[in-house]
Amino acid sequence: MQWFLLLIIIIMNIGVLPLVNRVHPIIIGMPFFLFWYLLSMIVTPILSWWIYAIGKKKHDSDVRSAEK
Amino acid sequence: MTALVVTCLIVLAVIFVGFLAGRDKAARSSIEQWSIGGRNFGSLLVWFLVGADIYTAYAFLGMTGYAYSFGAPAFFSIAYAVMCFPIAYFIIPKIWRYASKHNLTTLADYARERFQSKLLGVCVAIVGIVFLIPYICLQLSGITGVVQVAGQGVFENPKAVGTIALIISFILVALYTFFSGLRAPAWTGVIKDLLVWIVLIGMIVTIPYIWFDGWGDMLHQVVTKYPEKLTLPGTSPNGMLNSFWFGTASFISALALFMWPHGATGALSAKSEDSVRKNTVFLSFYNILLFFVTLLGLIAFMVLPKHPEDPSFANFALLHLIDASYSNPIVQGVMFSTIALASLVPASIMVLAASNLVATNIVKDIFVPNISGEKQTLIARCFVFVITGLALLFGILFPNYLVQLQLEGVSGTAQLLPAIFLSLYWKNLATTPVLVGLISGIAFVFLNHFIFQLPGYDGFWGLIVNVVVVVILNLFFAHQAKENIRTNKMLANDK
Repeated sequence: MQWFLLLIIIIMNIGVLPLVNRVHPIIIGMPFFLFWYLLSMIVTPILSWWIYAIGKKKHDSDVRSAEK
Repeated sequence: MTALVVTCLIVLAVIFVGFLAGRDKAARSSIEQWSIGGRNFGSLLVWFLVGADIYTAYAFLGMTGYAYSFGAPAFFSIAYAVMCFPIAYFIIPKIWRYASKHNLTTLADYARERFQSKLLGVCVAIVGIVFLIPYICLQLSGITGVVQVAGQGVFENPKAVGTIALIISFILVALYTFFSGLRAPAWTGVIKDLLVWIVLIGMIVTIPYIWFDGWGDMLHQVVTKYPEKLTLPGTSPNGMLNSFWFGTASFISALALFMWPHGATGALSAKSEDSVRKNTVFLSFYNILLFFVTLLGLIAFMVLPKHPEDPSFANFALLHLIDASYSNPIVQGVMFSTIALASLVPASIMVLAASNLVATNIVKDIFVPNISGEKQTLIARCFVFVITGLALLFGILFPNYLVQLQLEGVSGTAQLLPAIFLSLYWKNLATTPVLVGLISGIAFVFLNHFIFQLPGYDGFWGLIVNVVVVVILNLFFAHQAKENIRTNKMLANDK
């Protein structure tokens, strides 16, 4: 799952380039290309946090089972 | 003149803090203390330190310069900075765990232990140093730029004054690095980063209102007047900086970020694995600044005079924009000092990382294996002056020879990925294939740059060659891998 999220991040930032490389539609005053990277700047840390949370859960349960 | 005085005062005050950071003798008592702060930095300090590492004067000046000259291709830095931290999540915490268990302080240490090969360790160290010195030279441009722009009309020859300011400030920085070790850039990095946040937010909020009716109006004007700047390949010569370039450049840069010796130094200074992990989420906040600073480059393009004949004007577009937008000399001084600090603080971490590589992975591993810890630390500290001196020498005397090395810096360090990244997940990876892959990858980067000129980023093609060589050769070295797994203490402790 963690690797899958990383894959989504990479696709979002470079995989879809041919589709987002355009000026229109203009969203909140931003040309689409800029808007896309503004969006990615907000979405990617959320996905990173998700990766982190999965890892932390796994790590904690590892520690617990090691203690047992 | 007042602006320059304010700049000087702030920079000197911050350098003084760098010396204060090391007033406790423990700061230089061992290589672990000096080079990675005793592995004792909390999450927040690591955030500031790695932030100081990455978001340098060169990053800010370079990106606005790119946006000023070409437009949209400059946003490759956003794609890169956004991707690099989630990628680092899969590399750096694991390295940190090995490093803290086995007292490693550099990536070359890790490679040496993982492959039980001093030769590979030395090669990793040399690649790091060779590409890092030109990168330090790039950081110097922040200082010369500030003096050149702020000194216009004040000095008869601002370029010469810039060189003198450069030499003095770097000697001071070398001294504080010698004295305090990583604690100096960590604490001065806190001040630098706070200033960067305050100053850049200030600019982001005010500059669009100084020249336009705010961001909305500014964006509207770019869209109607210069739409060609807003998509790839922008206004780059021959459309060179197209989508393929954008994708390969940002991807390779993101992969390579923590292959840089100074990136690893920052991460290894963390107190716990969790604080490294947390930072792969929270470091992303800096990107907000990078995004808007790149947009300031577009503003610079619209409001500043065009100087296509003078490439150095584009490099300093942000500084010229400050100069043209604000008339209050104190405001200007604070802004210029921020840029100057954003070049001095990262340079200090880079110099420190390179010196540690020399002392630990070259002097100790190859020439004097049974050197005492004290001597090793002293050698590392003395090399601070050698590395700083080399960077100044090359940067001032032969700037032209450096350009190629600088351009290939990221491509070059990216070739360390099989040795550092693949090796974490692929236990049967043997030494010889990695070594041959590293050399062929770097060779191909330069071949591609000078001869083949395939489209896209050189490091991308280098890495493909590198990985193909590694995968094929590894079939023939299965016995070497088995032998390594059988005898390797570091891998044996791994559950």
